[in-house]
Amino acid sequence: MAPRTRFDEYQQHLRTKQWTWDDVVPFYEGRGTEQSIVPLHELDHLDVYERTYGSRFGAHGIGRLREVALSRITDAENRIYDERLPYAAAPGLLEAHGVGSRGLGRIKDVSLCREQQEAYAGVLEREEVTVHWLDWGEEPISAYGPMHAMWAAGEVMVVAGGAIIPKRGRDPFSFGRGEWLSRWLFWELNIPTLLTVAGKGIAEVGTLVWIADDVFVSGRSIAYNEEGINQVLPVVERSTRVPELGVLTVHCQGEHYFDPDTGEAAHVDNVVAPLDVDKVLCYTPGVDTPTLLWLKQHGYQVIAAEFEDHVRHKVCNLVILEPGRVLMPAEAQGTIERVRRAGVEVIEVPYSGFHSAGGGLHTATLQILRESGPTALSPARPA
Amino acid sequence: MSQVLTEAPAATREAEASPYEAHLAERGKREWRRADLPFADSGIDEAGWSYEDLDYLDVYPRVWGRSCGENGIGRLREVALSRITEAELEVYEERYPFHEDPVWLESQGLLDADIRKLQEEQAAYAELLEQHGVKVHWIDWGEAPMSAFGPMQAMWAASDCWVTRGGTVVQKTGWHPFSFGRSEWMARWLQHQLGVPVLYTVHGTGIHEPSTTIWLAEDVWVTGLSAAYNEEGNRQVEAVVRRTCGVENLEVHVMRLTTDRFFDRSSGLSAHLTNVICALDLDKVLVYRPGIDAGTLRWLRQKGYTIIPVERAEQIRFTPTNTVPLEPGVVFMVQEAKGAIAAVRRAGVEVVEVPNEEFMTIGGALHCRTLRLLRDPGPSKNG
Repeated sequence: MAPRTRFDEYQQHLRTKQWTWDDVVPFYEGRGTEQSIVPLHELDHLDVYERTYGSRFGAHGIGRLREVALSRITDAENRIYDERLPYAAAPGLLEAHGVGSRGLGRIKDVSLCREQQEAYAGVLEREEVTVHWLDWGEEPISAYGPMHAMWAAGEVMVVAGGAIIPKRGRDPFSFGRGEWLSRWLFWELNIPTLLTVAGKGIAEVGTLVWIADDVFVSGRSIAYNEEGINQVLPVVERSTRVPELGVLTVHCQGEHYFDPDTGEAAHVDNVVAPLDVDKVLCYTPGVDTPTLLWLKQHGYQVIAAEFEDHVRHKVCNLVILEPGRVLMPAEAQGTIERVRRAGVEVIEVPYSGFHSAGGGLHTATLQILRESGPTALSPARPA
Repeated sequence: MSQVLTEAPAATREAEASPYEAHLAERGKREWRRADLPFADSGIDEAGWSYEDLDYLDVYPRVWGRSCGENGIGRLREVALSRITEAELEVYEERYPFHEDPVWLESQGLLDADIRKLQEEQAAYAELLEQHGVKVHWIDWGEAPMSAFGPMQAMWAASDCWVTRGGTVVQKTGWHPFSFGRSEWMARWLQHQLGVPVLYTVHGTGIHEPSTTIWLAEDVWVTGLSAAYNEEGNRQVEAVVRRTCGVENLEVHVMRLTTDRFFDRSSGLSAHLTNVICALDLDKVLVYRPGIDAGTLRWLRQKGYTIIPVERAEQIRFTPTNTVPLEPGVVFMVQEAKGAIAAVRRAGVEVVEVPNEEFMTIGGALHCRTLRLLRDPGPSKNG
């Protein structure tokens, strides 16, 4: 029987390889010597995890994107709106729970989304990005009822050494999505969980962004509280190979995930996006002044997203392929033009079906592996 | 009744839905109501800020369909044990070079053993657990599993994946290259098969083998500094324990252990604190005094513990403290440690004797052999 998972493949490789003393070099000091604990007490997880799990993973920074996972889109996305269920008919119920037009909402045209998702996968594959498909089954279940927004596979953040699993700030039908992804990642790709956000921490980690290998953009909003971010940041820091990680914190406005009337946005990936080593796209009314100042003081060219593209097309919610090349929602023509004028290559991806449901390309993409990319603050430690 | 077990055919294993998947399927059939939503009783504020009060401990059983955790000394309900196969001795196989240097290979105190005897002892232990109302899952390691640095050793030590309230903590070992991957294997298995999520993986330069720490009460956790735990590891794991233990004022005590290896067969001392101390009841501990730092002995005295001592001759041969509490005042102990058992019984503690002679040869005892999945909440020490 052929190996079923990456774990099986790696175990098979280890079983059949020719083992020598060289394989235990750090721990073997010559015939007749006892094992020393010293090498193990100097060993960083970053130096051993590939041997344990059999592959490199982690989508830090803005280096070349190599591997992602995308969800197959099915009618299950809209199951919570089924009239046999008690949610949609109750006035204000879904909205109070952060679901609906100002959160993760209904997909208006599932067929369109399916087509756009497949086209998006095609674009990624043409760009030599490995795409894994996530099959959620017919009726995935959340903690509190049917699950929705399985399309939002970017819920989990994969860093070197493992995945970080969010704890959400709203939306009962999304509790369990990150956990489902964690199980899939570990079983299928042998990518372990490094951290599950716990306690009363809230951190929707997949919506945070990198603008360089050593600059991570964190946030405070209904999607991240101090306790949650305090759990996440040490793990993120230990997963990088940079001497010092710069952390920006965007203090998002309002108390909704995304308000298409006012433009308020609770997710960092809806207001800031990397474009190049020295260029970012920002919905500037959604970014606090100290963050904008920091960017400009550190030599970043800030390209402003147009309001209409922000509220209608989630234009900042993009995926960077490599420095200077980005995948953007094809519908956001005004902002795309601005980005191109700044010298950034844009690959347009039609993604209109997802915007009304609350997200965009970044939200939909579980980023698994990137190559090392440029740093903004200091040189990286060699891998 | 348990018996000496052989592996099920691989095809059979793969065809069966895991208990977790079966649970999901069952859950999918239920009728969902508004009352299932969070805050259905208390009411939710219009903007959903109530979610700030939602603790992970309230959420994870709904996501995964079960509770887990061995915190405290409450009634033990569920464990997993490894099926013992010839794979335990794979590292001695001639196709690997390691058998050529037994000084190196066995310097940590893990030795060769008789597999048949191990199987018999394991079957007897499972039977005793089941007789005392503990559910036993069997871990089938399949074809000889591989570690990051060679054939995996000590699959019998199922304890190595620590289950605390809310999920597993994956260790990073400080003394044994052929253990890299064992805790990880079990975490993957637990998540996939039983729906026990991964809370945390020790990483960075942290070293921590948390399953060898002990709970003395629901609110007293004892960790250590030794070949198996360093300061950084303690920092990482303590934070996880504090946010998931469900106790406001958790008392954490750190023991300072000796030796530079897992188990020194001349002194009976060990990197694992479970080899020198264990809980017997809320106010009683079994202790090998020469292996306990004075600060800990002082702390035990100040806390009012009755100390039952282990004699040196039995410590070297049986590590009698390597026990599993069934509930306060009832403990599984290795049956060969007759002196310690008599002393414990004289102190009013009930003992269930478990054969462990051959496991002692290969390197461990009951606590090591037992992956403790679930305990009832038990008594607190500090009120």
